Amino acid sequence: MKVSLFVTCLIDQLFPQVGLSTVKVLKKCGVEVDFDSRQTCCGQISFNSGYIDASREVAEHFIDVYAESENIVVPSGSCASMIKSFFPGLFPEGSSKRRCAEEVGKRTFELSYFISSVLGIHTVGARFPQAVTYHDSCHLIRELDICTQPRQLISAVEGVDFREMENCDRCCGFGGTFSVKSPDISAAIGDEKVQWILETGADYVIATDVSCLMHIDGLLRRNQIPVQTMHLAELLAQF
Amino acid sequence: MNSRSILLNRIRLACAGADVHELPSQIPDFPCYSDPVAQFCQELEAAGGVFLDGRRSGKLAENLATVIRASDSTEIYWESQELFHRYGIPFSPSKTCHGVGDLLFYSHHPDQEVKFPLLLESRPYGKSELAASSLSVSPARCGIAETGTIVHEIVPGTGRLFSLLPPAQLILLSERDLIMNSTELFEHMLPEQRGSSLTLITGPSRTADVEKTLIIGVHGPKKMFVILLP
Amino acid sequence: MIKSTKINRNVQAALSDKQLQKNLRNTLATSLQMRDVSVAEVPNWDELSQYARDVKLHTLSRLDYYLEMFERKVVAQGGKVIWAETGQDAVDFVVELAQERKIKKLVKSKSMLSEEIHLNATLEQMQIESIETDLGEYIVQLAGETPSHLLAPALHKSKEEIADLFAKELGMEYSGDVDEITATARQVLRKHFLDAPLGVTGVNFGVAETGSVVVVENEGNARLSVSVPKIHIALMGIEKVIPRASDLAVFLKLLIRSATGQKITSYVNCLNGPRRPEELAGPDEFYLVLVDNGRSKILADEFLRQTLACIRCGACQNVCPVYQRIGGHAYESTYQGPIGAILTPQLTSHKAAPEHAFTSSLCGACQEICPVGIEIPHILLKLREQAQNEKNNRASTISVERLGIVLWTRVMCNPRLYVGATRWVRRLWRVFEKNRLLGLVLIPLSRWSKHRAVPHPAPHSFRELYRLSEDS
Repeated sequence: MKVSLFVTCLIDQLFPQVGLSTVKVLKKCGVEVDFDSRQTCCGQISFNSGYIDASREVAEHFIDVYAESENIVVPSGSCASMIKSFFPGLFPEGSSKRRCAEEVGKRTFELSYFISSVLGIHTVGARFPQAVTYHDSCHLIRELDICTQPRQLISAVEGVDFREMENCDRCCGFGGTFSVKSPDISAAIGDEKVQWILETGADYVIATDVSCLMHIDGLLRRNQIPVQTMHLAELLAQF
Repeated sequence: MNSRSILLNRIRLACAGADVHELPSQIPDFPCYSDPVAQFCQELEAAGGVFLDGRRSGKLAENLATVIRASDSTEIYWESQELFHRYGIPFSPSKTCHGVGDLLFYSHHPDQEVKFPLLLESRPYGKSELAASSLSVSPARCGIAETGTIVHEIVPGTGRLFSLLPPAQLILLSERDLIMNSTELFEHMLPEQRGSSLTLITGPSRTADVEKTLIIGVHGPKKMFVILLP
Repeated sequence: MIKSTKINRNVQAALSDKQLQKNLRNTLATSLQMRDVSVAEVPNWDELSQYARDVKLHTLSRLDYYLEMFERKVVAQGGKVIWAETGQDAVDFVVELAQERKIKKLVKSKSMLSEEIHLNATLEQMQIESIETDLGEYIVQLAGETPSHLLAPALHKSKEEIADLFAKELGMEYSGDVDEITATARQVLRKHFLDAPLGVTGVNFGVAETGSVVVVENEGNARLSVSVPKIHIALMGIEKVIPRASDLAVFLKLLIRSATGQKITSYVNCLNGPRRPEELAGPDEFYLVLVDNGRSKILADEFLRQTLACIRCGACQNVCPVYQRIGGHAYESTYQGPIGAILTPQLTSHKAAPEHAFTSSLCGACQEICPVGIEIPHILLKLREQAQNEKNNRASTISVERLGIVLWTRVMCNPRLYVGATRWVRRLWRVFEKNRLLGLVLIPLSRWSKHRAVPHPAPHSFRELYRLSEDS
């Protein structure tokens, strides 16, 4: 099977190792990975800020880039939900662009869902003998309804000590531009998340979104808490 | 143009051109119980009410005495004479007891005992007399097993204050009037209601407005009893 | 000039208010837990929820029809119906009626609509005493404050603060015992109930089929407000009408379980007009005030219309991570939390409430918990769009943010520009990081770094590394 990777702008610029891990894991799953260097961003940042015209332009660019792709895999719940849930609404009902957006959405999969539910693979043979906990990112669980897949994949990692945290599906407080528009609230919400993470005694917090992880990591580091953040792809690439 | 037509026009304009969203016709299922009395009793008591089973003959006097003692009163105020007929409670009106007008019917129980027939007396009253009284008795239009609720309605000859002002209230409920859930009440009884008020009552008055601490008895009755009759 | 409400300026104060933080933590967690247990007992919750949503959306799509039906029934039962285009019209009606009847005092049971239209403020100016009778509202009124939660208006206050307040305002001996506080309130308010000639209440549901006004409560204060005084005025938002009495079974279950986790409240009052001639007590006059105050404007947008389906259960406030941290008062508006975030700018304007739609992480917990499935996060997005468009049309110059977005869009639609620009940003980032200038130079980063460590930019982007790995 062939997949086109949409690596997301954040991973491209700030967390390239997550992208490399994604490629490594997908290859291990036996799929052929293609990276189109024309890709940029899904436009979520402008969309969530109310700039719809800008988002539409960026979405059109995305749809152009991936027009021919069989499957598009995204290592991010929020970017995948932008493409799947929100792209179509950017174009007038009944227009051909809307149809294209819907088509692209149908072919787009978040990484854990793709491995678990599309490929039907439950273990990729990773080994990670550490205590980990998992944070459900909001868009993944509430827009895409993906809850069990990441957990199955984490649990199948050899040696892993998987500890669920209390309120695992509560927001971490990132919220895109919210994190800089209302930094005090954003951080206060995050502080509570950090508490729940700490209560598990886990050494690593896993999530499917680098955006949440960047926020959580920022709080952990600022407070000199030695818990590490790790994207699901990085965990699965431990082989 | 008056406010009414301005407002209605605004609404019509706002709704114009849009499709009418379909009104669902089939109400989702509500629970039914193999033992509705047990369900009713459980829920009423969970809500802080007191359930007394007066279905066996001879039990009513005993139950009434229990309520009198629990509410620390020596008088019972009866909502109407109709109560006695409806539930077959033996009574004998005293000479001062006329059956018409704005009268408060009451029976005396100085030793907190109840003997039939009740000696019924009456006097004219106002809200302050009611507020000073200790225990009211009213009939239930029906009881709802699902939530342990009784439904009290205002009918001719009764008023909204009677079961509200005294600190303790007793409701008589006939087992025949026990329904499984509120669907029957709202589908049939409320549309057929002729009086000005119908109240669902479940337990005593309560509040949790201060630090979520549950307090029983804020503005309405502090105690609520139900005697189930055949 | 419109006074605009701000949220972010209140955040610091809210976050550093230890009592508020403690109360929010305890109260909201308890409410949520009780709600969850109660909802889990209902196997067909989702079906009930969908039913209620459909009923509301249907009613809203034919609101004129149901309001007229409702009006006919109320009038047939001897009630009078007043149509108020604005909040001021509704307030004027109450004040004029009180003045005409020389009424100096009224008892009021909890009504968010009365808060929305600032009824008490005007009554006070007119020297008409308006006594809030819900315990929480009474506390808030004694303190000269406004409610901070739809269902628990005094949530922000500790029992010690309330005891202080009662000692000061009512001359009660200081007691931190909640039973005693409540007993005092009962005693004081009972007197007011017995001698106030006018009772004012809100309305949870107006049943078009039967003309019933339904008021849901636990304390019995609404029952007293509609039973003792000779006049009852019910204030009702036009969106509160439902078609059939049978719908009540569903709505009550959803409302009450979502709100308090109870199976039913102590009292559900179904009121059909004034007392009938042969009834012994109850109000001689009944007035129903139907209030628009911006609602018909919301009705006009088919998507945003669902905002009006809200049954004011408060569950979205309990579950909202933002509300949980800052409480209600920080919103500076009658409606707070997620429902307030979507309702406030629509009832007023984006100019008057510029931050409401934006102060949300869009986490979606509110939609998940909403018993009528209001798509709050999607509505927020739509409102953000409206707000930006309005701002753009209003302003003669382009805002810095919009300029940034325009540039960003050009970059994101052009892969070459993207590669070049991002390379420069990462380079600058590293320079600033070294010189600790980062926060000073870029505003978003300074706001980020206030509480959080800034991520280190990777020396190479993924695309660079990927090309290298593929080439090797």
